[in-house]
Amino acid sequence: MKKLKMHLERCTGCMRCELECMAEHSSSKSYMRASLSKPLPKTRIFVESMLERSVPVVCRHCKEPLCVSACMTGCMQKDSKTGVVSNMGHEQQCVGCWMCIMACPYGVINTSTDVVGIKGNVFSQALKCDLCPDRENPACLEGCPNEVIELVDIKENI
Amino acid sequence: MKYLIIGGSAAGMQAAEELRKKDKKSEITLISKEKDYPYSRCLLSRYVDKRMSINNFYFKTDHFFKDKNIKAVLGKEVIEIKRQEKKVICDDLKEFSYDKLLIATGSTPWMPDIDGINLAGVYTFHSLDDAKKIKESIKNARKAVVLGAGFIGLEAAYALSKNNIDVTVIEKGSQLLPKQIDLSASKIIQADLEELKIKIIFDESLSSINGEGRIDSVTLMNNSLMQCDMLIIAIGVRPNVFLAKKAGLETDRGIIVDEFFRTSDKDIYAAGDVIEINDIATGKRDLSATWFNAVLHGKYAAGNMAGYRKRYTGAVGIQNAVQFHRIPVISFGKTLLEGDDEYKDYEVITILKGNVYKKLIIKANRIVGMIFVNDINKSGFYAALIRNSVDISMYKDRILDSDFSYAYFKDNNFGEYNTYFKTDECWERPDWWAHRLHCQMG
Amino acid sequence: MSDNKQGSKTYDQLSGYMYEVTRKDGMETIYERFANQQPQCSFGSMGICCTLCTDGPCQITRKATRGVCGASADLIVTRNLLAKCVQGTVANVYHARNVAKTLKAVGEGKADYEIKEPEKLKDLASKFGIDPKKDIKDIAREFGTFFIDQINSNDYTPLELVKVLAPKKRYDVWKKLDIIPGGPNSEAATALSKSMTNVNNDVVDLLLHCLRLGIANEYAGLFGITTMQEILTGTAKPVESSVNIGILDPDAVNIIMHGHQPLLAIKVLETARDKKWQQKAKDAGAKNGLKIYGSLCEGQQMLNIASEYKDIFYGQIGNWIQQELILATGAVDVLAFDYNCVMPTISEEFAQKYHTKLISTDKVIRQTGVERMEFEPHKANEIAEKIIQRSLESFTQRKEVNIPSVKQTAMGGFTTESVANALGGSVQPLIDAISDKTVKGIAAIVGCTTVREYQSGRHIVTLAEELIKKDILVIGAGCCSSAMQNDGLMDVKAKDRAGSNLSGLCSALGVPPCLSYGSCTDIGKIIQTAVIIAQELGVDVPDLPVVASAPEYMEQKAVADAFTAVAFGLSLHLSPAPPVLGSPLVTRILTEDVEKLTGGRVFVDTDPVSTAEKIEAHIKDKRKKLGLKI
Repeated sequence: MKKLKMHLERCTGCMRCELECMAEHSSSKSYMRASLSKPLPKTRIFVESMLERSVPVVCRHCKEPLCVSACMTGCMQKDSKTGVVSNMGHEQQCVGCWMCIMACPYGVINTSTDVVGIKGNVFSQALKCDLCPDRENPACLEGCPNEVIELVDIKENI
Repeated sequence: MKYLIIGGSAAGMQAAEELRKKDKKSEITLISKEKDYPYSRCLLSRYVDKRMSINNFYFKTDHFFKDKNIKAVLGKEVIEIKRQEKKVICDDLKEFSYDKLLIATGSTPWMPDIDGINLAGVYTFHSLDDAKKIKESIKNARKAVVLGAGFIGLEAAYALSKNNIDVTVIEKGSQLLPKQIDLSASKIIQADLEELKIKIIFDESLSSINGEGRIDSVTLMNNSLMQCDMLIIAIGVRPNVFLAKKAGLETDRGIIVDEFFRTSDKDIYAAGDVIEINDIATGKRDLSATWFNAVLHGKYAAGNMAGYRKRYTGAVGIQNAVQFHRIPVISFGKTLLEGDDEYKDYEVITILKGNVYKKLIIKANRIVGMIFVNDINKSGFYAALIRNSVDISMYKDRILDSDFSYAYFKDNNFGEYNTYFKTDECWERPDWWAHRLHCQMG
Repeated sequence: MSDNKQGSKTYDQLSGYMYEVTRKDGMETIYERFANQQPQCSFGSMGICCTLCTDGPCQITRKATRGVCGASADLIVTRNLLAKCVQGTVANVYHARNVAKTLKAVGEGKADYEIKEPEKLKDLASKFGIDPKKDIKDIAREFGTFFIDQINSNDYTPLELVKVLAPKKRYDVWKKLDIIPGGPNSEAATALSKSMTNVNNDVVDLLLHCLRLGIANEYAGLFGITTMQEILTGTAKPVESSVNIGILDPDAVNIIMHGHQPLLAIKVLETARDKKWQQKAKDAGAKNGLKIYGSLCEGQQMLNIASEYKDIFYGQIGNWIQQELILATGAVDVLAFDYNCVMPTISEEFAQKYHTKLISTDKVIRQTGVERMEFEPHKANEIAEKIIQRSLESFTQRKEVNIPSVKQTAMGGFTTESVANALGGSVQPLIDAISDKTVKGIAAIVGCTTVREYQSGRHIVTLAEELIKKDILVIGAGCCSSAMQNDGLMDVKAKDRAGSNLSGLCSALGVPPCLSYGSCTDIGKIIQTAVIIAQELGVDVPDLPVVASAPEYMEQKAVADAFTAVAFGLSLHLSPAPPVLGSPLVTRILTEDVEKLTGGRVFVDTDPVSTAEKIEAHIKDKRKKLGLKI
């Protein structure tokens, strides 16, 4: 299973990973244009701070994900092959009930402010890291100027 | 090993999934008295106001049962458990035997004992059946009354108002969501709901429901009359302990279980709305009727049934995330200080700025309750601090600051995968700035 | 990082009380804004972020060791540092020019001021060839003109001020390094040209230019400010007064003079004494009449001469961090500010919410929606009356008032002359005290307060306390003085917190162990004191057992003052680290190599206890080299 791992001592708090994540998950794929669009796309990686040191906090696609247990529609699922936990791309639709935001102990799920219409249903959605399924390497990894983020392969028996 | 599960909602169905994960060979049967496959009960309002269609409503479809080889027996009600013979009897007298049994019978709405309660047009908002009936009668309704301003009552009111029905909510207490949030948060949500023209009457209750065969008005305690075509009762739920009581298991308000979800019978487990369990936030044994809790119960109970010892601590009764119109609210843990609490043991920290309201209740340097209104980012992190009873004495002055986050606890993985490489000692030294320079330059 | 006072955002209790008030009112203060900014990018805080041209913005990263134009980390760091040094220097020079203009106007008879220290003026002017036997007005006019000409002169002519006033030993060192500055504004222009894209890549040259600016900062800036102000307002005299937010009076009309230039404040004090205005205040409903306070460096200056104004000056209210909290009391009727250190939120949020009338009194400071009464030497009385008039109008708008009930006292008014007077007429007794180890040495704790120390004021106060315990005399200037005053370290009773030797000396002289020299511009005076002591001992400044420290510096004037200190050969402690860590070369130059050039150096330590130990070790080392007992 591919997971993200951080070299904390190299992080400078420039927050480019956040911008790249926003750009990747917007329709224009460029953060200059994305920052002008409404609504603003939201990041799924968060550079938090602890006493002046910056610490990137991101979804760790847990072995026993609490967000999956909390999800009321069943859209949040852990993929049995890749191990990625995501609420998009499944039969059930995310309805923006925000239970996963309340469940995640790392605080890495975000509310979206726009309302989407999918298959005749209308809601806002919860946004979380999906390990950029359309890319070889996640956007945050490629955007980091100091090689803080690394993609590692670990064995996880689900 | 034969596993039998009574009840096909959150707890029952999660237990079925977990049992199959842990035990690939044994027989698993799930008996539910509802005719539908497991559906998302908490989202009924979205079905009523047409935000969701019936196709997307099912939590687990028949594919799931086929793929995982779980036998689903729908539309049958279990009426007796014969513990000595280890079998259950259904309403059509069919029998099912078991080696390990899980009771996940859930709860039923309270119905007040007043005249007219059985008239047509009086509904509860608990099952998919209810929702279908309500959706049908919306076509001819213009005015509705909702009794109870709890979670379910307000969801129902919202759904009805979206269908252009004139809704009035009648609440016995003096604020919305009385068991979950406090007065300040309630005022913010009230303003939000009143934008949708939902009327709310506090400190009132019904004395009678009037009509001939079908409801046409209700009478309040102050003797005023209110016309309506529909009444929704949402004053709370009570656990369905009938089966357990009849079988002689230990019950109070709910079925009493230990941390491994065993009842007083070693082969019978219980999970979900129907049980009573120690609440880590209040410190008392309490019912915990929320979807999330039921799912976790089901998971842990199944683990224990399959022979793995999985102790469940960190049960929290009040956990709710809701957004009616524009303002999301999250409440978790012990959100209210009640009459029998020692006020001096508790510390309350609040922030109120415009519509953003955040409140933390702290006891013995551990957070026991939180209410977040409008800005719900990172609320799960605070919930984790509550569930794990983390000592926050060092951070009390910054606990609600915008830069307080999981980063302060980066060495605690809360039991999951560690995303940080073991950092150099440069992280720990007081003159880290000089060393970060070297780390950066490679 | 040690969290020794839990549950409190501020080290000072009264600030903590007012912070809770702003929290309840839903106002966003500097504490929330700081939290929102976290984490702060360390490309910036290490100085390796350059935003000069459109080929950027560039950062030095693991992948990129040069900016697009080819600039290395060393060059980017130095260019940024030079720009800050320029800003600080020209700011001080602007202030000096204002004072010189006033002095000149007095000489021309076109000002509301008079010469309060004629001997000082004659003495100073005679050094520059102005005949001291002339009429004092002529001397004032000529010296004022001369000073302004010096400021405007070109950088290819060395400053007369430096040639005449600098101590010989220092002058020789600077001449050898070729850093004798010319006119400061011209030096600044050259420096800015040097720090453009693709002009200068000689890091050492740029740093030497910083030193030039540092020297210009002292003689054309700080020295000019303090000396000419003393000539116009009188020299500082030791005085006891009240400090901190608790001194505001709910039953009086309160005017706070805020900023750095005290000339107008003096006129406000003199005007407010008038029975006419006091009566008007009482008629408006304030039973205690009209009261004037000072805030920030202006308050420190007013404190210096408060012995002349005891009936009308009611105390020094606070430092930079506290300004929003002071307005939150709701009891400030007028805040008149000039020149720097005024937060934008004062005019954009706090004044409206707490019904304070804002008045700006210098051309350079413009804030939206604020009434401007720009100072001119001949209009000072008029403006003072208008300010008082506004305060009476504003008093009637007062709503809820919330003042912490604690009143604190402190002593101020120390400077070279007043210290000498306290010792009996010369600094010799002080030198004797240093020699026989009653006082191990002197530490100057100067500069701003920063919110980066999450309990702002903590570093300053802890450091001062540690030092006086070790019998090291502490001199404060700027907001550091205010932080120490708020903690009671500048009260005579503080001698009980000092080591036994220092405590004994303080008892004998009736002074506190921490002496306030006044505002941040009085750093110039501290340097002059050091120079005088060095001359008496027959040594150069770097040989003295003195250390300078800016434990919570924040602003660009502090960067310029830092280079002044280094140019004069002082060892300077800084915290937090200046934005030079991105370049190991510049870090090494500032912390090691520059000692061989000027005798001064910089060292950084973010922990006050360990800083105190390093300072003590340095002082002991200097004592040994001077042959004094350790």
